[in-house]
Amino acid sequence: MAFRRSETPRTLELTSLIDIVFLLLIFFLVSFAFSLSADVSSSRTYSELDLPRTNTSLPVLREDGLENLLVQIMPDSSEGRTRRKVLILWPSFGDTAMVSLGQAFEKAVQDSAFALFPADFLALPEEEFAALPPCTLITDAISRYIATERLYRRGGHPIIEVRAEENTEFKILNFILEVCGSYQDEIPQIIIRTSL
Amino acid sequence: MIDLIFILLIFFIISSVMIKLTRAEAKLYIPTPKNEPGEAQILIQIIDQDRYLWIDHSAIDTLNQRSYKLRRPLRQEEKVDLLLRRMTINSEELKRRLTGLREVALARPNSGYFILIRCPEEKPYFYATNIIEKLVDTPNLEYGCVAGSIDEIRTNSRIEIEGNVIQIDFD
Repeated sequence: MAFRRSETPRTLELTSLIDIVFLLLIFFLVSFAFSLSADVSSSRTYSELDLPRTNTSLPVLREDGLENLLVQIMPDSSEGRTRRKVLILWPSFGDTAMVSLGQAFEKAVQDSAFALFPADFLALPEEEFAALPPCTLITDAISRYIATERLYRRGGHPIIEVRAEENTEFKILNFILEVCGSYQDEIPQIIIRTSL
Repeated sequence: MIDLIFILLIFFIISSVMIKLTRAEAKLYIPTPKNEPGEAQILIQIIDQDRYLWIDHSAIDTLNQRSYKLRRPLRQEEKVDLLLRRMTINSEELKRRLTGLREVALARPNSGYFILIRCPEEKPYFYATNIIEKLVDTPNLEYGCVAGSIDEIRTNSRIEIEGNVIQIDFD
């Protein structure tokens, strides 16, 4: 005897569909959240620097909060070749809320508080090097920072931080050290940021 | 089945994004230079990533012994050549000596030590910070970092021994 096959109507499996929808929603939310931290300039974000690695137990910096003047040195490929770009990131003073690294970075870009080293800066003699726009930017920023620190009298010595790719030439760091050293005991040391 | 695939996909995507997040940062203090002559117990001249010139008190004996063998005072170029040949070390030996130095400093808390690190301007600054981070947590170990190359020692330096001190002047 032949039996007729009963055809059950196919129904949409809502449970699985809702699962997939939620998973996709989570995926897009997470992707969107991370894409918001993209840099305003054509180069990498303030956070994507290959800092020197350390295995020793150095003091840890407060995450993402800027307490001191920060000189950030990063690669810039906007003109077809990689050069060093210097940005000056300012902390907040007085009773204003502490700024994050990201906020200070965006402000530096908006205020044009950055400058590029020429490709041949290593070959320049000392006087010419010190007269370059990035060097005068650093010198002026440190001078203003010390004056502001004196005004607000936050206690202790003003601290300059440097955040640079690990392969940044020592010449730039040496310049910052010398500028700070010219203030004698007012800036006895600087902080180099390393990654753990 | 599709659910499982999507769950795994999201897991791997989020994991790969998490890895790229900013790592915690630490702070390394570097003293700013003082424009005055000073004395160092150890001079470390960075030549490249695996070669360093380490000059300490033993350099005096090295120079004196050579001078004694030749029965005459050494010329400047002979002193420089001898130091470069005998006192150039690799990164493993540097690490071992820095560890030993820390142990000595910790064992003698009343003694002070100063290490001068010279780094060529064109080299990456992490060559210097790699040395400094090994010295930071020893209270009686001070350090300073300046720009300088091995060529300056080869061509423009004057090396003299005055008593118990080896004096190196850079023109």
